[in-house]
Amino acid sequence: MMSEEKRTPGEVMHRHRTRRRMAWRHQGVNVAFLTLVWVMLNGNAWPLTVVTGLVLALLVMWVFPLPAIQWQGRPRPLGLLMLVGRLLFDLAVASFRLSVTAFSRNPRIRSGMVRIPLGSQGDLYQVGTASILTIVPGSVVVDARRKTRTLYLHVLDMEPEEAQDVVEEARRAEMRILRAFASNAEIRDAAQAHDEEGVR
Amino acid sequence: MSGADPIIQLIAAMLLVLGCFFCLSAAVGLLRFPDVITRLHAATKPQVFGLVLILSAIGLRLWSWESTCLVVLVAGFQVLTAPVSAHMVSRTAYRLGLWNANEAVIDELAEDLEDAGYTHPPEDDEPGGNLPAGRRWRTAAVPARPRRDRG
Repeated sequence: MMSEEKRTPGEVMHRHRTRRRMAWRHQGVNVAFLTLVWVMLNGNAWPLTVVTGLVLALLVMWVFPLPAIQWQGRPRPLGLLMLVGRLLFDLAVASFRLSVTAFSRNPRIRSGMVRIPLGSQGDLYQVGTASILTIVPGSVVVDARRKTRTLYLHVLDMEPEEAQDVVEEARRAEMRILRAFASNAEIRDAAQAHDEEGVR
Repeated sequence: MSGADPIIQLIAAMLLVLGCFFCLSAAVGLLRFPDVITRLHAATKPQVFGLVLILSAIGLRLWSWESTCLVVLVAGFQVLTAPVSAHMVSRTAYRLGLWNANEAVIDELAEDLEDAGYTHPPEDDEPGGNLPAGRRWRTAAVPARPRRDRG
């Protein structure tokens, strides 16, 4: 879906090579992760299991190659902990509310489709935000645009004037993702973008 | 402390019952909610949460590294994949008009789709069974769609 401007063949080749180099650096992380999954699945870390996992991971990477993602951030343990804790809490609240609605005598559902302009740049952050927004109370991501970094949320129960609250809530979720994965500069830029949007 | 400890057993049993309750409410929501997208709310959240509770009960009851690893994996992948499938289904449902658009309090996606050149097909234009044609979305002819609106 990405539209690229015209490039000379040399530039294209260079981009291609850079991408491929980056891809291989990320492949290492992917292979390690897949091996870890295999070891966890087996429940032991005997050398044979690890070797089998490595072979399977390489096989998976070879059969289903993925493009490298552009990611300038770093994992932040504290932010990650906050993210997971908040996610479990949100999941509990959302499930409780939905079960109340499901069992109520006359479920009152006034839904709406709200546009969420994101403050961050980066596919990883957009996907992460979309994922946790589907988990947090009352919303499911229906559509997403990459060019404008926009998400469209279906909100289960809302009033027309609550659209701005939904946007604020979604931005807090986005900031939680950024505090878990992004670099300082990206967090600052996103917060600034949110402030400017809020003033408008 | 181990999985045989009565207190741990009690907590595990309570988690199991709670988890089953949330799975049940997901099923009830699936049956009772009015359209595809609201039903997806029920299919994602209480379902995932119920499963997480049941898995933690299993982890407590078995009380071993092997089972804990497995349980963490299952829960993690469930949390990662449920939003993706929900998104794919709801996106398709939206564009096929399979939701209560007339009862929605606000629909900003429709505004943006119209800006991007999407239109509603006229009635009885396409064979769609009993799908509501008036709410379906059709991609505009390619030249009419500005490039900057893609993605």
